[in-house]
Amino acid sequence: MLLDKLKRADIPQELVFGWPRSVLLGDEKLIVEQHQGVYACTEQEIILKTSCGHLVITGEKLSMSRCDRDGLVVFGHIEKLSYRPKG
Amino acid sequence: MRLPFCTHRFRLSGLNLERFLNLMKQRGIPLVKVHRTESRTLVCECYSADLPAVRALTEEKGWKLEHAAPCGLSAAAHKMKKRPGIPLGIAAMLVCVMVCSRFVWRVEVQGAGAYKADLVSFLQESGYHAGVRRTSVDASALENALLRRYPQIAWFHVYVANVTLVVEVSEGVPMPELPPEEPGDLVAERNGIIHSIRVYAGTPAVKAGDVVQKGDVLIRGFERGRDELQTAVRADGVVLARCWDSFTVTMPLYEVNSTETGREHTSVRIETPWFHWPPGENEPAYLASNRLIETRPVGGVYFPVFLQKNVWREVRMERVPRPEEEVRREAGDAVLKLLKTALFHDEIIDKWVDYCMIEDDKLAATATAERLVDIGGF
Repeated sequence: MLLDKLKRADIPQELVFGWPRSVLLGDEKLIVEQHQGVYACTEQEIILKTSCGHLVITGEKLSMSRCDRDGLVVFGHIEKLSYRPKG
Repeated sequence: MRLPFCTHRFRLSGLNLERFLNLMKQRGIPLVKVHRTESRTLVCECYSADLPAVRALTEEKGWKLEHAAPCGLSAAAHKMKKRPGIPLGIAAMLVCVMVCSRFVWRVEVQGAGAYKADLVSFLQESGYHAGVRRTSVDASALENALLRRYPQIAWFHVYVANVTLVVEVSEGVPMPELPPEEPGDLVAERNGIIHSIRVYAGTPAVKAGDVVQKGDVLIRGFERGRDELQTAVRADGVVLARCWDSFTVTMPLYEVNSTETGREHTSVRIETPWFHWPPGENEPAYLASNRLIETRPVGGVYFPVFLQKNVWREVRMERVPRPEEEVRREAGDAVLKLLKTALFHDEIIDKWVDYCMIEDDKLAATATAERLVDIGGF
């Protein structure tokens, strides 16, 4: 019901529900907005806390850039993106 | 204040470094780069303005911050502190550039043709020279002054482009001379046989097939009205006539060969840019000879002295007749080439070549071209 109203009002759902917004550019750059913090960070795996669970970014030589209140950018060779339910 | 490209890189070690990242996020301190090098080590880059806050946070929570070093513009500024002359020099240079760009340093005159030298001296006298302030250049006043001084010029365009005062000149195109409107006959400008005649004004005096000579009247300058009265007009029309143009090439029927007799004379002399030794050429008294000159440097590139060896070999000149067919072919080709070059823009109806022997063992080839020409003139 609420979803239909939002659709009719043309309001972005991710803003209302606090969903993370991710943009993957090729396999080298991932822009993540509206995350809730960093859960783990290594060169092979970065796990971000989101409202949908843990967003797991797997790859090689991963690093983060432009980490601020709004989001962050992950650089490196990104191989896999997945959600892990909150434990 | 966070300035772009002004950052510090530091190494952070300790336990639960993800908590550090989350705390930074909560406190609104952005990190430009984060890289996990070891399990308990992070290499981060933050804005230089945030470094004290980061340092305070790490001290508060027990992480170890080390190797903090400036990056980007911060590093450049750090180095500049030790060399104050460089920023001062850069600032002085910028000031110089700003000051110099307020002046005109070059005056460029375009398209002035014959007036260029005079125009340049006039600009100098009027105070428009290198070094004058850009704001003092009144382009429209200068254009008006130039127009008054050079009435034969169509227009001037004066403007300042960067530090160059540009004066564009467009010379007026002189009015073409119009044909006089007085009544007159159209006469033949050359000999020919009339091919066709088209009359625009006047009365035709010839018809197709007539042979005309230069000066003959082709169209008379009068017209007869309905009342049989003659009105004087300026004759006008197109009179096409068959005309012939000839070109002649003369070629000798022999060639001159030289044969060396075996006698030769050799002389050697020293050449410098200032004198020769021995003076004079010491040329032998041969009637005809081939000369071979061989120059060798004596002292190399830096010592301009040369040894010049001259060898004269006596030769005997003799005439050898050439086959007539060969000369005829060469002369024919040459005269046709000459004909095409001379009449390349005209349409040639017909052409032929005549050959004749003339005195002194020579062959003359004459090419004649027939073409249609408007022979009318005044």
